[in-house]
Amino acid sequence: MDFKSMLDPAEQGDLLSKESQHTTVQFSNNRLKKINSGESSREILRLIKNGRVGLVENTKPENKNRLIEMAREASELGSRVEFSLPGPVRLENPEICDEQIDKLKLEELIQPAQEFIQKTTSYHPDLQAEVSIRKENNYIKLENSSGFSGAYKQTQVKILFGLRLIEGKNLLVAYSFPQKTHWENINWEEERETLLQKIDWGRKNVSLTSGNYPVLFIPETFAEILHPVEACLNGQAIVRGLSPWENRLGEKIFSDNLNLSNDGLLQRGPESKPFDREGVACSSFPLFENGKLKNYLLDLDTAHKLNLTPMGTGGENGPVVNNLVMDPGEKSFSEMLSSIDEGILIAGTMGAWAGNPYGGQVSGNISLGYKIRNGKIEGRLKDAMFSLNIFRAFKDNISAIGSEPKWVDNLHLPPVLIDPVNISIKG
Amino acid sequence: MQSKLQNLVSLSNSDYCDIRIEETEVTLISFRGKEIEKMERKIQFGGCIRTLIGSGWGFVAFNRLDDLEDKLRLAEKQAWTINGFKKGSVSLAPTQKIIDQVFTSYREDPRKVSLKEKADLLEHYNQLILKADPRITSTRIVYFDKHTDWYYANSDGSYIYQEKTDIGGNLGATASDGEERTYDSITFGSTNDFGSARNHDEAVIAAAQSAAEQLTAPTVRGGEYTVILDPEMAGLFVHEAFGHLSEADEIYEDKNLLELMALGTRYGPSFLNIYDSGQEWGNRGCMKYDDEGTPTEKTYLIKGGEVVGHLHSRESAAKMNARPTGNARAINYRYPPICRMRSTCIEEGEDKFEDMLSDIDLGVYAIGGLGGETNGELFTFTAIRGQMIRNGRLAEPVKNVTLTGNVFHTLDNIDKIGNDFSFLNNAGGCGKFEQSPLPTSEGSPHIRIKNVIIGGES
Repeated sequence: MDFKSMLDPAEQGDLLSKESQHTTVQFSNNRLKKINSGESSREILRLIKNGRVGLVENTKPENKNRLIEMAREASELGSRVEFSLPGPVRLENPEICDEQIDKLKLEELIQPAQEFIQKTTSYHPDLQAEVSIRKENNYIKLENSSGFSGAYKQTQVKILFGLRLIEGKNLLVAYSFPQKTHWENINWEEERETLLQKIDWGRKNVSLTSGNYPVLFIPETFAEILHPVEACLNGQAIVRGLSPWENRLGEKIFSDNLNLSNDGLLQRGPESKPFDREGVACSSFPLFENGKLKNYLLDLDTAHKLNLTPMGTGGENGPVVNNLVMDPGEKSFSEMLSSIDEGILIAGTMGAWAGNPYGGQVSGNISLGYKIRNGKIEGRLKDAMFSLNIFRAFKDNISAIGSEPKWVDNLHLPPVLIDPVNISIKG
Repeated sequence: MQSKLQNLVSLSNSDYCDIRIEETEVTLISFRGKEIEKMERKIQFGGCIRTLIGSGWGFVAFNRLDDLEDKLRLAEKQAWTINGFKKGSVSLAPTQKIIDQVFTSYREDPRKVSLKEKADLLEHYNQLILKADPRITSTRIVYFDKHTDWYYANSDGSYIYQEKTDIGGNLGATASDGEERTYDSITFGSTNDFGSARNHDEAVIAAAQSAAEQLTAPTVRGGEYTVILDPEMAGLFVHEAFGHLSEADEIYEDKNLLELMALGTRYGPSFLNIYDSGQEWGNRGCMKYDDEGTPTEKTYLIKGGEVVGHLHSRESAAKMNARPTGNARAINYRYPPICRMRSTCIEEGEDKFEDMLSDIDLGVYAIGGLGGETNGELFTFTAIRGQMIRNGRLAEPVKNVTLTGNVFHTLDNIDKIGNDFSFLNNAGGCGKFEQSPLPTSEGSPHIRIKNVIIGGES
C-alpha cells in the first residue's frame, strides 16, 4: 500500500526507513578483544495534522496503522509548522557506496589492526593500542504524502586508533578517528605515523608561563573549536534569535581568507547523499565566501520561517551540515610550525564543547599540547587550558591557514594558526 | 518468553551464552522559547546474543526475533574467530543462578499520566521561565520517560524479567542582553516517580533569575584557587574524575593503571569515602540486576582515603580475583554490557558550609555542573555559574568557571567534606566508548579542594 493512501487527505506525513548492518572488530590493550555485529531496522513516521507535528520512531515489526494512531495522538500536542513537504525532484547520486565493504571478511578487518599494533609495539614495547574497525552498510528510504520517494545505499568505515603510554605518573594518550565511505581510502600508514609522532613529541614535559601565544590547531582540534560557527549558522539559532548572524546575509563577518562551505554531493564525502532527511535534494553551497556570510543551514521549517530556500541540510533534529568544507591556505604544516618563535601546538582538547556557543567563546583543557620554540616542538605542555573567542579570531587573528586539509568526521579542514590565544597553566 | 530464551541458550555450543530482549516505550517532550519543540513517541524493540568460546566473545544485535538460532551461530563464529587469534581463556566469576521477576514499585507511574498533563506541566514551567525576567530570551526544556520490559537468560540457568523505568528532565533558561548569553537550569530524574517532575515552580524561577543575573557577572580570572564545589559539581567530579577510573575493564589489562588504582593506594584525606551503588532506589542507574543478571550492591571505591574496590563485570572480577559488583551495563540491546557506574557518591562528612568558607581569603564557589570530561589523568569540568569567595564570605558572581587538573592530585587536595549530602538526577547520562547516554546519578555534599586551576581571562 502506498504511504499517501494510509493518511487522511488533510494530513501530511513522511516515513523514513533505515536498514543497516554492521560488523566491528575491536582491539584493546594490543589484543583482539571483541567482534560485534548487528542488523537494525528503524522507521520514523512524521505526521502533520492541523499544522502540528507528531513523531513516532519504531524498531518493532508493527502494524503501520498503530504507528499512525500514535503519531496522530502526539500531533495533537506537537509543535506547530506551516511548511509543505517537498514533492518529486531530480536527484544527483554522489559516490558513497563501496561494494567491496559488504564482501570484506572478518580476517580482512582484523589484519590491518594487527599490523598497526605490531608496528606500534615494535616502536615502543610499552605502547598500548586501541583499534576499532567498523564497517557499515546502510539503506535509506524516504517517502512522503507529496509524492516524494527516494532511496540510496551508503557504506561507511569508521576507525578508532588510540595509543597510550604511561611512564611513571605521566599518561600520554593520542587518538584519531578516520571515517571513509570507501575501504581503499584509508591510509593506514599515515594514521600510524601521525599518532607515533604525537607520542614521540610528548615524552618530555616542558613548562611555560600563562599568557597569550600563537597556537597551531591541527584539523582534529580545529574541528572542536569550530562548533560555535556551525551552531550560529544553524537556521534554528537564526529563527530563535540566538545567533549573532540574524539578518546579516551578504555582510562581511570574517577576514578575507575565510571560505567555508557545505557540500552534500562530494564524491566519497562521509555525509554526502542524494537527499536529506526531509526529501530535499542535497547540494553544494557557500556559507562564508571571502569572509562574507552567504547562507545558513536550513531545514524545511526554518527555511519557511526565514523565507529562504532549503538546500538539503534537514536532519532528524533540525538543520545539520552535510560535509563542512574549509578552503585550504598556502602554508604547509612544517612551514607553519617553523614560523613560530614561541607558541603551542594543540593536538587534543577536552571540554572545548562546553559553554555557550552563540558568543563564540571556546575554552577547554589541552589534553595533548606541545610547546613550540624556535620553530620546533620542544616537548609536552601539561595542566594547561586555552581560551579564545572564535568569532574574534576568524575576524582578526588567523595568522595562517594550512595547505593540507584532512577529514575529521564530516568536516574537511586544514590546520590553522591563530594568534593570540590565551593560555593558562597551572603552577 | 522464558521458554523461548532458555531454549535458545541451551542450544549454544559455547562456554557461556546469554540473550537479552528489550521492549522500550519512550515519550519525549521538549520546549524551546515560546513553543513546544518536539512531541515524540518511540518503540524500541530488539535483542542481542552474546557468546563466549575460550578467549573470545561474540555479539550479535537484532530487531527481529526470527532466525534466533542463526544469530546464535553467527555470535559463536565470531567468538571462535577471536579464540583462534588470542591465547588463554576468559573466565567469568561465578554468580548465583537466579530466577526472578522484578516489578517497579511506583510512587507515581508516568504511564498513568496523560500526554496532555505532561505537556501542560512543562508548558507551565516554560511560561514561568519566560516571565521570570525581561532578559530571558529562550528556554530549553527537555523531558522523557521510558518504560522497559527487560528479559534475560544465560547458560548458567538464570532467567530474569525486570521492569525498568527511567524519567529525566531539564528545565533551562537562557538570558541575553544582546551581547552575552548566559544559562542556568534545574534538573530532575527518577526510576519510579513521575512526581520528580512536579513542584519545581520556585526553583525554575530562581534558575531563570540566576541566568539573567549572570549577564552582568564578569568572567572569572584564570588562576589557582581554593574551590568549593556544590553537591552537583562535586557529583560531576566524583563521576568523571574517579568513577571512570574505577571501571575494572579499563584497569585489568593495563599494568600502569592497575598500579595507580591498586587496592590499598591512598588518595585523598582519611575522611574521604566514595561509593557506587545500584541500590539507592529511585535514583537513576539503580536497579536490582545488571545486564549480566548479577545482583547490584553498594560498592565502596575509597574508604578512609584508601582504594578498596572497583566496578566489576563477571569477566573483570574473574581477572582481578574479585567479586562481581553488578556494574556490567549496556545502554540498550544494541550493545554488550561493559563496566559502568550506577549512582556514584561521595559520602557525607562533618563540615558545615560556613566553616568551609570561613578561612578562605580568595576562592571560587563552583555551582551546578554543566559538563565534564576526563582522559584518565586529566579532567575538565564547567560549572553552570560561580561566585567568588573573599575573606571567608561569598562575594560577587562570576561566569565561565571551568576547572581542570590532575585527578589524583586533586583528590589529595580535598580538605573539607560537607554535612549536606544530596542526590543529583538529571536528563543526561554517562558516555563511555560508543555507549551514551546511560542513566546514572550522583550524590555528594559540598566539598572543598585546594589549588585548583580555573581557566578564564587572565
